[in-house]
Amino acid sequence: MRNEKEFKKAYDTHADGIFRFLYFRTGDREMAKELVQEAFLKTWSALAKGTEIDSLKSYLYRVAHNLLVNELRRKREISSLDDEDAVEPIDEQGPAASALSEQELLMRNIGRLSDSYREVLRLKLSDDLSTKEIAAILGKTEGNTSVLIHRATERLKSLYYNEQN
Amino acid sequence: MNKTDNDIKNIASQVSLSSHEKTDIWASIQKNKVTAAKPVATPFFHFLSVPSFRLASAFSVLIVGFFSLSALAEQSIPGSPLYAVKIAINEPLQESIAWTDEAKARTHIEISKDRIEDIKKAAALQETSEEELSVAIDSLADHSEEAIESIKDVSRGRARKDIETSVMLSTELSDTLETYGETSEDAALFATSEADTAAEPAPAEATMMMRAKIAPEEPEMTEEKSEHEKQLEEVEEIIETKKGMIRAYLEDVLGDSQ
Repeated sequence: MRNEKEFKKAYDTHADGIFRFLYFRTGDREMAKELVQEAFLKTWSALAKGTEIDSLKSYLYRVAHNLLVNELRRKREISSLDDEDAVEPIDEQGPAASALSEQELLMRNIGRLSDSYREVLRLKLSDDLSTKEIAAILGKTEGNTSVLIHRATERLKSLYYNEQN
Repeated sequence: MNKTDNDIKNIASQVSLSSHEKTDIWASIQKNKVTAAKPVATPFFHFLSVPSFRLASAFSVLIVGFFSLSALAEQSIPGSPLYAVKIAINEPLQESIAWTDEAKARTHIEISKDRIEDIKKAAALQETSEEELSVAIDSLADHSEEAIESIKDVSRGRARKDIETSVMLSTELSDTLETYGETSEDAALFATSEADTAAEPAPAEATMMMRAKIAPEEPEMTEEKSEHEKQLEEVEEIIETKKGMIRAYLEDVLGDSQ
């Protein structure tokens, strides 16, 4: 990854995934787009400084994750709310499932999961990241991450099931 | 309606940037990254940022440094800071790679030869302290002794071929020890550079002066000898003793083989 052509290729390959990851977390399309731009710029700067990056994909997600955490912290400070998910767009008491699009329903159900389940599923669904990559981004072991993904997926399916019944 | 893993994945994948959004974001990235430096585009030095290569590079630098120091030390004479490297590192290394008795004998002969040259150069310079010169003298005594022992080991099997080899090595060692009485070009250079500051004697005259300095054939005992002179006499004694040992060995081994 040493020239602009390769960087553009990485953008074409991963921009959608990074965007999905950020959008699932913020529910704010514009904010997600801004953070995508920032994540790629930061990665470019790191490469310019000669930082050795083993997996560009994992690095991009880690940068996006950190940017997101900073952004959420900033928003929380502004709104002086303690809840980490203050910017979560999905309200527990939202409209009926039938009134929502598939994507909105997915986001609402993901929003209902516990923090750890939510985090792994967002990564898993963003860009179909491998368990190893997700573990690297979250700083967890591969085994632990694998169990989390499985349980989170089962929990999400049960939420869908409950929604329909 | 139950959702399968694939259903969930498909729904998720529908969340994406439009091509227009993607183009806009890329344009913004391009615009903003102009201010940042371009990624490292010097492949030649890029390897230095990889930890394993960094380690390998550091190791290579150490190796090159070691060999350079070792090569420089080879030219050193008693009293030089690198002389210890030559005596304590280079030569033990040479010895360690000589596995056979014959190779060991040759190594010790070579080192003895080197040591005689060192002593001659130091004597010509007349700047070496007694302690520094005694290091070289002791080393000459040790290596010539070791050479004789190794030569004896070569003929231990009493095979004709081994005896011939040991005789040949004995002759080489004896010839090497004889060189102490000769003025080498190197030692003459050292002596000449000293003499340059005074008058410039003719080359033949310089050689004669050198010979007188290094190994006076008939030292006049009218004056009290300096420590240096005593040390040089000690060298002659060592050489005579070793030559005697070689003669005794040759008589022994050739007498038995007949």
